[in-house]
Amino acid sequence: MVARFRTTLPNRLIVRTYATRGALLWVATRAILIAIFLRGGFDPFQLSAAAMGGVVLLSVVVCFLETYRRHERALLGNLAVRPVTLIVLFATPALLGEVAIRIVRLVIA
Amino acid sequence: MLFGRNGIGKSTLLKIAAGWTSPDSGTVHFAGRAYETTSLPELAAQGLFYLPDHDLLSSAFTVRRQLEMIRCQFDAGNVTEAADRVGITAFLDRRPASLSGGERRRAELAAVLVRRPSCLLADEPYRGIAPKDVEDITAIFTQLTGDGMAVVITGHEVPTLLDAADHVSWCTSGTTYELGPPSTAIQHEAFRSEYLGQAS
Repeated sequence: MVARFRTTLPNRLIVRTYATRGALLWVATRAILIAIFLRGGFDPFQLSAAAMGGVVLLSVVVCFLETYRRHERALLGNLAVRPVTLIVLFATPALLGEVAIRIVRLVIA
Repeated sequence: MLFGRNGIGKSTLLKIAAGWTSPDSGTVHFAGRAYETTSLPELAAQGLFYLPDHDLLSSAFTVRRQLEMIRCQFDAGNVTEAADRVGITAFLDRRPASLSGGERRRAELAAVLVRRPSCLLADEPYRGIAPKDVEDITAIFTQLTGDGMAVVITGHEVPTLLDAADHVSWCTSGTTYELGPPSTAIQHEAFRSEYLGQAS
């Protein structure tokens, strides 16, 4: 008999820990992008939906690199946290941040 | 106990068993189920715990935080009790990077004690530690098996491991031999001549 997939969802402590990392690294990624955009003469707060998606994707990649750098794959595996769950934990704060920037931009405009 | 020369495939075998690496063919059997493809998160949810041949705990968080993550995730054992049992209570609020090799191994064992898995796969858990730590860690492994946990260990600390082992497997030339209990294993001619050497 081949087993069906069964795993557990991450608990609140894991969610908080890795979502915080996602938020911090999104801030760092966004800060670097803002500096690059300003040097290039672009408005860093006026991004298209595709560009926003790109920023979120880049932020998730940076988070995964940090996770690899810290050799956390085995720890997360032992915690039964799947990579797709990590993607959600890393992407959510970045997405919320990008939406918040867009809303603030609209309100100011 | 899984013995074998360096580079023969012990770690690879454990990685496959832990769902860390995919085998070219075959299935992984765990907890009464057969997995054609699997992953560590999937097996961990079923009760497996894997100690890789590098540090398990992250340098980003304190030992306590990581043990708490395990406790909360699996509604498992008491962090303070586990730390006390392996003698790392004083280091709980430090990050693993600031600990010695022996202290990190103990912290990893505390993670095992908190998780209380049904099966532990430990790849070279004695690497880079002092003889006293080897003794203490072996005693903990022995207690774990006494508690009903299946423990699979790789390593080259032959006298220590043979003393603690219930069963010996030997990886050589692409094959894994089941040699049985240590008393039988050391009688195995090829195991003696090709692995244990003259010291046997």
